[in-house]
Amino acid sequence: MGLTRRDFIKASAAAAAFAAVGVPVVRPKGAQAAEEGITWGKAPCRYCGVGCCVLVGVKGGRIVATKGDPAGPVNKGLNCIKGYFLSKALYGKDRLTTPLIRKGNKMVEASWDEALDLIASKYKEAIASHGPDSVAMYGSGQWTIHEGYTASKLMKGGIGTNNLEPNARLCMASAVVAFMNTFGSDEPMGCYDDLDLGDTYILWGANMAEAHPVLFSRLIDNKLKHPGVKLIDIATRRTRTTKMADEYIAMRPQGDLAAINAIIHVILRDRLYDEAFIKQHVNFKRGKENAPYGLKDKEVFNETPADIKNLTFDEYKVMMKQFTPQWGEKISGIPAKKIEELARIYSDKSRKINSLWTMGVNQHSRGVWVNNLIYNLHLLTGKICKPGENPLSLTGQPSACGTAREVGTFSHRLPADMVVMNEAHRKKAAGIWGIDPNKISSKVGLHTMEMFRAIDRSELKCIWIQCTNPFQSLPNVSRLRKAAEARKAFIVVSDIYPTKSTEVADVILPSASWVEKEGVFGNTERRTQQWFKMIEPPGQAREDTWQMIEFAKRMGLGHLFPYSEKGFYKEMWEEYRKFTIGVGKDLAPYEAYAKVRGLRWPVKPDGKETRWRYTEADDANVKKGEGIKFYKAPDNKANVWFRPYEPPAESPDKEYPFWFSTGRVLEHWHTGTMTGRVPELRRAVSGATIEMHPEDAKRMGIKNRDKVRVTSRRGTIVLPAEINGRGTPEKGNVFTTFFDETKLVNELCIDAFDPLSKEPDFKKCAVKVKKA
Amino acid sequence: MKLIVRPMLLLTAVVSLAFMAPAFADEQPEPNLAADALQSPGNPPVIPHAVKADQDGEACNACHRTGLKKAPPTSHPERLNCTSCHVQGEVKKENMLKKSKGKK
Repeated sequence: MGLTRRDFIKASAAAAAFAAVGVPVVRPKGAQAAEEGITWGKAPCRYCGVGCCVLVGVKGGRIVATKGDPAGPVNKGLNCIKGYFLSKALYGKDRLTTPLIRKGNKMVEASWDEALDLIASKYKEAIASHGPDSVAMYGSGQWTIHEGYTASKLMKGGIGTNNLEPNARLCMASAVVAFMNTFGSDEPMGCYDDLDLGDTYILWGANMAEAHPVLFSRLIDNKLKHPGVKLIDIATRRTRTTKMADEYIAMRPQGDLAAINAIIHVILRDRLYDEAFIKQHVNFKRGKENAPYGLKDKEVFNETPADIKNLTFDEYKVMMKQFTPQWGEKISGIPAKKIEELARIYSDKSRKINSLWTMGVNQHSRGVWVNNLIYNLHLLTGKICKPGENPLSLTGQPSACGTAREVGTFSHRLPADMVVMNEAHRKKAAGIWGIDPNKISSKVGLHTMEMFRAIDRSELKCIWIQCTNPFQSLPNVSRLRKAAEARKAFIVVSDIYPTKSTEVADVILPSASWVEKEGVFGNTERRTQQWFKMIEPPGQAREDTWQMIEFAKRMGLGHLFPYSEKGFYKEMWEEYRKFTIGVGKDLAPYEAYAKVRGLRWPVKPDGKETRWRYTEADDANVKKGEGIKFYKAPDNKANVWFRPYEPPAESPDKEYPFWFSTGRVLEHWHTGTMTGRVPELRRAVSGATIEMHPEDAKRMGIKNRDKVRVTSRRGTIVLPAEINGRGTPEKGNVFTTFFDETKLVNELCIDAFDPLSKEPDFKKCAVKVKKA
Repeated sequence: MKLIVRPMLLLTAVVSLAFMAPAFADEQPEPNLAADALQSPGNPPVIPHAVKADQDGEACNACHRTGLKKAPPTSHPERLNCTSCHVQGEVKKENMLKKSKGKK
């Protein structure tokens, strides 16, 4: 069963084949001289969840160069364009350099003491009259692990509320819930090596070429070296990824639910599954259906153990009979013949199959279900936990995994897969934090969507936002902006530049960013990467941990952070690390990370990293002879969930006939607050456009660059049309990007969310389009 | 027996050095980042001519593989996702593709 250690070594050698950029570098004469006087440091890139290794050159207190790190195993010297211009993200002219306090319509300069005293007095006042659940903190998957840990300890262990959320709720929450309910532990079994080792890659609604360009280059490298490698792009829009794919399969929005169920139907009908694997490793379950869409405030939906029904394999097979390929075609638009073909590809014993997905699946009103269904494909065919053969959810932020997920800065989580609802978990956390277990509330806090709606309802009195830009990035954002502008809550924003969120703040705090402080990020493949402080932050800017701890002192909670000034990072790390030891999420001692380009957890007792979880070939938690063991699941078995098709919250109709989807572009990242300040990137892509299918545009008399008014039930916006540009949506679909702060496209998005993960669906709502 | 074990061990050591994750992090040498930086080619040049929004790598390589029409030849023609690193910079007049002249 499974893979031998010899196979594993062979696989490891092949994985190293992903080479550095092009031919060996021949340095022009004088290059060495030009680099004299530069001190080099290592850091993961500031931007996305890929976690590329970057070398940072500092001279005279300024970053003078950033290079792709040739010794970095993630990217082997390659960066994407954002990474090459990385340092410019810190050197925009309008960096925030001093605390600012609102006086009427003006923001007035203040000292740190004034600002922090004011914040503390507002929080104390709210807690005294409305209890600890009337205050909140909203952080980020861009927080370093230390920042997230500080926030968690402060809010959950100190103030006594679970109103702590990361913006990762908007991007990774569906993946988290599915990892938990399928495998009993968050984060993937596989890693980036699978991009070098596999031969078949099926992309579910992911434009990897633009959103994860360096990983896509790894994939393309593999494809060029091995002509048998196949790349299948299933999507609602033709993109740069499509250009490099062997096959593009057009799918209707929400069609993934139907298509995957139909593929599974064929696998079961034609007995293409791996019976032995299923017998040994899989349980069958049915969850709660007819779920709501979160459109009403305070809507409660949970899938409790009482709602979950155990099934036998035979019962499951009978239930799946309804999802024929013809039915799948009707809903997804993918031809029945193609569905049959995909079933054969997924179960082909001679192929190493990988599924890759990102926001198309996760930002989905049934996102957890689609994640579950993709796992079903791999579990039924036994194509999982093997080098070159795994499902992989790609993350979008540099430490969505390390901070939001591993530290657990969600309103229901504690570090290392623990949750606040579980008494034993609260006790363990309290033990490590040195506090009374009763201090940690068992009540799940407000999730992101409810947190901001609670401002509008005047139920949340104070919120502190760090390292993210919710008043641009949340769906149906006008409702939330109006509430903030009406000063319904006291809003603190820590950031490095003025943003759409600092616009509505009562206090703005200037933060240190990236290598202006020491930190640790955790990327998509469980790789933990550390860096040292290399330059001073500008003006009075201070790092977020300092801000939080100074606030804690004013709240009488300074004792929670007893670390020495000199040993601060190490001491906090070693405390946090206690959560991870012996539970299959083991992190290494702090010093270990200083010397290497990251380690993938669980780190083994001998200091080595783990590339593939749950397999005896590589995971120290699986004993010899056990093969594959899902040891974090209750009975060591993973769950195959029955998840039917349910429609999206809003579909096109006569009045609003187009599907509307939002997404990313290669040159910009998130709400563009950093990349928008890099002249090269701004020049390359200066603003949002609305992409349309050429036939739709022609029918409506819209030409390229014509101004077009796009209107949903929630808002309206004028954008230039882009036809036959970088991407082409399928007929009846329009697409835009969300980075442009002069165009708040999220006003149009519906605030519907997945009932299990509470992650909103930014990819589907109905709009009308008119020439402006 | 020993005769076989020793080369095997050596092989294992080499394999692990080259391909495996760094073992025994405590015993890891301090990395020489300056030397690594010298091995890195640095920033990719921006593109000083017009590029189609849906440009693909083969089209770039038509000139940049060999240096046709005075285009700087690429050191890495195998990387086809050109625009993931090279973006449109300022367009210089002399670099405009002279399509109209139809020079072959």
